[in-house]
Amino acid sequence: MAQIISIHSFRGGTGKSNLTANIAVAVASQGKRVGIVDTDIQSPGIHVIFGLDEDSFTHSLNDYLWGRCGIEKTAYDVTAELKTADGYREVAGKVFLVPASLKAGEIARVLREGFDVGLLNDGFQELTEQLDLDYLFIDTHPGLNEETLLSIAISDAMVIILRPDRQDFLGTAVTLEVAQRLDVPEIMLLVNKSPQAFDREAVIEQVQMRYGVAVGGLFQENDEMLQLASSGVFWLHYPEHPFSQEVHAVAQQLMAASSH
Amino acid sequence: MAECNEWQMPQRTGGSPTRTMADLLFLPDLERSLINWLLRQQTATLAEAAAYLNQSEIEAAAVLQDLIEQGFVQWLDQLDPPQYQPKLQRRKGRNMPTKIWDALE
Ligand SMILES: Nc1ncnc2c1ncn2[C@@H]1O[C@H](COP(=O)(O)OP(=O)(O)O)[C@@H](O)[C@H]1O
Ligand SMILES: [Mg+2]
Repeated sequence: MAQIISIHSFRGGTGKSNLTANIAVAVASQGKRVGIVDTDIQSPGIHVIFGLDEDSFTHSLNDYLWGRCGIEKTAYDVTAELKTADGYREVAGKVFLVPASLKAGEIARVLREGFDVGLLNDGFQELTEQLDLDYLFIDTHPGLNEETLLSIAISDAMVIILRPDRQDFLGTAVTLEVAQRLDVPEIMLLVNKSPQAFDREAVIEQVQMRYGVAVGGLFQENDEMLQLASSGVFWLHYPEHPFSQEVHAVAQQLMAASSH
Repeated sequence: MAECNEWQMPQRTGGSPTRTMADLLFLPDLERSLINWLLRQQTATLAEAAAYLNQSEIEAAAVLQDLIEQGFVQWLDQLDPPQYQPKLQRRKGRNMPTKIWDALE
C-alpha cells in the first residue's frame, strides 16, 4: 500500500513546493517509487523545480479534473531530468510528477466552475496503483479549501511547514485542529526559513511546546536557496549543505514512520 | 467549551443537500470519523463499516442511513456486494460577473 503524504502550510511562500520536491526526491534516492501531485491548482508551480514548463507537458491535473484524460496521462517520469550543479544525477528509485496548469484560463476555470473533489480521491488511488508507487506526495494549496481538506483527510501522514513568524504560528494551530478533526494518523511540523541568528534548539523547543507535535526538521533561510530560485532540487545541487542533510533526515523519518 | 459552538453544523433550508469536504468538519465525532475512514477506503460494505464502528450491522446501518439522508454518503446497491461511498462532491465555483470570467478564458 502506498503512503499518502500531504505537505501543507497555512500561508503561502513557506517553501512548501521546494521542500516537497526535495523530500520526495530524497525518498526516491532510497530506491522508492515516488509520485508528486500538484493540487495547488490556484497557485501551481512545483513542476518548475523539475525543469518542466508549459511546453514540456501536454496534460496536467486540470485535464484529468475536466474529464479530458485519465490520471495516468498526467504523470511525467522526471527521474532522468534530475539535474545537479554540473550534470544529471541518477537516483535509485523513480519520481513521477503530476503538474497543474500554469495557464491563466485553466486556473480561472477551476475558480469559475469548481470540480468534482471526489475525482481527486479516485485519481490518487489510480495513480498509486498504476505507477506502483511507494509514496505519493501532495503539494497542497495554502490555507484551507476543498481539495486541501480532501488531501488532508486521505493522508497517512501530513507535513505542516511554518516559518518562525507569529502569523504562521497562529495559522498552524488552525491547520492542526482541522487535521485532528480529519483523523490524520501522523503529523510532522517542519520549520523553514529560520533566520540564521535564531538558536535552532530554542526554536524547535518553542514550536513543540506550543503545539505538542514533534518538529521533524528545521531549515535555515539561506542564500544558496535564494540563488537557485526554484530552478532545481536543492539537495542535488548542494549535497553537502546543512539544508540538504536536514532534507535527508526528514525523508528518513517519514519512511520510518510508514514502516510501522 | 468554545468548540461546541464553533463546530455546530450550520442550519440549512430547503432542497436536497449537497455536501462538501467543509461540511464534514461540522459532523459529530462518530459520524465524522466514519466518513474519514470511508474516504480512505473509498467504498465499504455494511459488514466492514460495522466492524470499523464496533457496532452491530443494524446499528451501523442506522448511522449510515442517517448520513445518506443528510447527503454525506451514497449507497451503491447495484454493486455486488453493495457498498457505501462518501458523497462529498463539488468544489463550488465562484459567482462573478460573466464578463470577468470571459476575459480570462
Ligand atoms: N530555506 C530557505 N531559504 C531561502 N529561501 C527559501 C527557503 N525555502 C524556500 N525559499 C524560497 O522561498 C520561495 C517560496 O518557496 P516555495 O517552495 O515556492 O513556497 P510555497 O510553495 O510554500 O509557496 C522560493 O523563492 C524559494 O526559493
Ligand atoms: Mg507552492
